[in-house]
Amino acid sequence: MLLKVLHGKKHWLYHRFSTVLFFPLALWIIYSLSLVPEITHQNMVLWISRTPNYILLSVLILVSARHFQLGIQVILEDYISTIKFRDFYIKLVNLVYYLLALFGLIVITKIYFGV
Amino acid sequence: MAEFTLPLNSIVKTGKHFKCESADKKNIRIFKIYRYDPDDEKNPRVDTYEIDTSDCGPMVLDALLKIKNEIDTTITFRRSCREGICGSCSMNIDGRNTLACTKSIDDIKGDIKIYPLPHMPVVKDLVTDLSNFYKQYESVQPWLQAEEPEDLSSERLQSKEELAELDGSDECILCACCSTSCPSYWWNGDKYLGPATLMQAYRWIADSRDEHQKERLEKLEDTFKLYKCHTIMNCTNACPKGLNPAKQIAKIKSLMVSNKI
Repeated sequence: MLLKVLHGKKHWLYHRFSTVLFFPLALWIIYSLSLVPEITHQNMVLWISRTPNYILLSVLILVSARHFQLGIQVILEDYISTIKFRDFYIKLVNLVYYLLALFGLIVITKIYFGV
Repeated sequence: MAEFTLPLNSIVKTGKHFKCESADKKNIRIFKIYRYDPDDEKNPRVDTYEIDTSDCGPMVLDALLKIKNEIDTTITFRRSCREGICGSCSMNIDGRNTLACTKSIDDIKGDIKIYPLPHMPVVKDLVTDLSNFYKQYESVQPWLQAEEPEDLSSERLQSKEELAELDGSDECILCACCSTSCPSYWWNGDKYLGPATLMQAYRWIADSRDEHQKERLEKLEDTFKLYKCHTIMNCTNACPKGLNPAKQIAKIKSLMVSNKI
């Protein structure tokens, strides 16, 4: 179920939605990080510990990982003509997307709760 | 998987040079034309023809006809109407897909390079095999689909606004310039319908008299048929009739969402 691949209209819509969501989030992270006086480990821990930053960063991780997965799927569909290989690599990219997103969320959650 | 090496007979070699004996050299233009005959098992070549343009019509097709009639009768190309209506003489001229009959020789600087439509199987010289292109066109059922009216003596009327919906798509002459300029069609031409066919699909989806809009849209709901259009816009750039297939494809995608197909 987790490895379910999106096709056709659903894929197209999700890709557009992720682009639209990604744009303001990218602007936010650039602006927000520019306000940090110096990029040190301590300052970054402090930055992530703020609730709005933690929430928006979590959304950014999910959205950018999803956007990456949907984009790579298009490239694989375009260039791999053997259906067996194509489906395998698309599912592999799906898995990588879930693992990367999960890893990112675990890391920032640990920082947020000071674990 | 993708092929990273080209077959040996894909290397284009330099061919014959046909000189022009005209005394007035200032009007001579050089035409470099792709030549290929799959039957002789030789590599394709580019032949060079010198043409005295003062003794030739103004369009590229006029020069091709002059070459065929006076210099080299073996050269093969399609042509018919000579006025940009039939779409037969579509080919790649000076790096762009266009119609030879509407492309002026004076608009091209330097040597005039003529190749067949890109990424299509070549039947001979400038003639490409468009069987798959026509099969795809047939697949969108390009005819009116509606129930028989109760009163058979009545006409299926359209308002001016309804007719205007078809503007920009029913002028297509199916020359294949757009489809064969699309990189997405080059990679997946067997599954992706391509801009020309999709524009024709839209032409029938948008027709107020047609009653099968939902079924037509359902047929396009597929990873490849419609959604392999990545809005590269080469189709719009190539269309010799000045149409915008990319816009019509975007309208189909929009209808897909609004119709909840």
